[in-house]
Amino acid sequence: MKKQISAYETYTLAELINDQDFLLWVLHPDEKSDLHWQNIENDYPQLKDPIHQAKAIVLTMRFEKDDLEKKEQDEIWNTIQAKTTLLTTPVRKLWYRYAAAAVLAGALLGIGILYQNNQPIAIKTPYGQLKTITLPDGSLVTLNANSKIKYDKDWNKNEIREVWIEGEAFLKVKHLHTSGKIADRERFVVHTGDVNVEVLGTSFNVNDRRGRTEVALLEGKISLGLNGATGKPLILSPGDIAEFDHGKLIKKPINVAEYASWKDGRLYFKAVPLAKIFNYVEDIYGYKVVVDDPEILKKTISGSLSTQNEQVLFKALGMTLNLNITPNQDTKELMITTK
Amino acid sequence: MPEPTEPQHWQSFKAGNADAFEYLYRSYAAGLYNYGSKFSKDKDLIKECIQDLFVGIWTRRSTLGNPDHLKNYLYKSFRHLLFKKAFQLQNFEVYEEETDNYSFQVSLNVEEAIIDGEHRSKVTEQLNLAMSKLTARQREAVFLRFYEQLSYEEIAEVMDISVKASYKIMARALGFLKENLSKDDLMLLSLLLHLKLLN
Repeated sequence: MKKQISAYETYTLAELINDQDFLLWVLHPDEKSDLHWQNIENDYPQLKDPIHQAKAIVLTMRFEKDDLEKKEQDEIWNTIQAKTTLLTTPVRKLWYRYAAAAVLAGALLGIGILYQNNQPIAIKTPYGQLKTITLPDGSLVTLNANSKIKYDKDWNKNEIREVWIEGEAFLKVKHLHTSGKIADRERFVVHTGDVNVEVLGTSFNVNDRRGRTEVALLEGKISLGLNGATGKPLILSPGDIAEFDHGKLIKKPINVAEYASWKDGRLYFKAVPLAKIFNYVEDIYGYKVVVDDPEILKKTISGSLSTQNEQVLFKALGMTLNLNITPNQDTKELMITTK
Repeated sequence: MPEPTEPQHWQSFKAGNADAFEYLYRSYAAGLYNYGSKFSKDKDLIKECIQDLFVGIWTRRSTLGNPDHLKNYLYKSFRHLLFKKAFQLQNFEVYEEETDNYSFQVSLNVEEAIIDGEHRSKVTEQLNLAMSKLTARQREAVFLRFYEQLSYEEIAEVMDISVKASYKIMARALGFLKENLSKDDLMLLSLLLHLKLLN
């Protein structure tokens, strides 16, 4: 209900701002209210200034804006485009291909796999950082640096538990099988580039780098099959390591502690050639190793080293082997020279 | 041909049209960035969340419904992502919001042309002082109502609270501002804020 025009005759700036009609007009002007306030201004010229001031105050009370520059907006868009192009075609297909591979592996391992449209979760660790992840069934995965795990967000009660791993991970799988026939939900399958690892409940280490897959078993029993291949799966017992290299799975006994020690921030070596250690340093810390004399690579090392801190690790390695190890943070090169 | 409406853009986007997708991004990127900046000064984090939000809706586009208010839907999802990232939760954990366990910084200003020099800085200062005494949740509600001009129902949706709670939060915020600003002509501003928010 609008007041009579005459009611405004003696209004001050403050009273105007306090006036509901005035505010409504300023914030939501329409023809009718425009005319109303024009009339007030005409009839009471002394109100002209206060009205303009009040209007300006109302309209200019602003929250400060954090601007996204055009350039930044474009940058974000480019990333989105890059990511969505990947997601729409290749990665999507890749995911289906994984599912297809899993079906093939299913034939191999005698598993039926139901592919469900369930949001996959992907977790990636940066160089130099480990991460422990609890899977939907309560199983634990320690992901080594520069590694990736992918799995479905929800695990259906009647389906096989499945994860996809790139890089290196230590898994402690929750044992669900009690007795009798093994149900699908009690199975747990780890897929790597080339190998499928099937377990019930156990602790093991998977390393899938540089085109090779190594699976080291600490407890329990696991069976390994090749992606897209038929044939008898390889059965591992504790203390065994299976290595997949150049299209073949080979089993050999190892000192298992060596293989999974990274998860506790230490590395154990027993006559391990330096070439292997340097591969590890490249994978985990993201350096490119440069040696001045290839003979260095043939040296072997035994013992244990802390990997909590790369600087400490390099120092310890250098002292043990009598080498200078100098990281270059700009080029991400690790220079190894003989003393 | 008339310019397509937002719901039409949304439908094309869901059908996989990249132009419609870009249109949606361009329409909301700046607003989301501004909103996100109130929670955190970490620009990269905010940009990353905008990126994840849009990559996410594109990936899930075939399973998405038709939100009544796209803006609310995007703000709400964005807020959720931001909280998840800011609190470094793992993907599968559902974030449970603890009361005001976050920050929401806004700063208000009054344009120079309106109030001059000393008076202006005094007004601005006091207004911001009063705002700073609100809780993060209250400031966020005030921001969504006043700046983004969302209704109470929409605020409730974005902030993931009940409509009743959104009224309550706002009433407390406004009551506080009014009380703290009523002593001099700052009352003008508090009242105008009040009315602007309520109508």
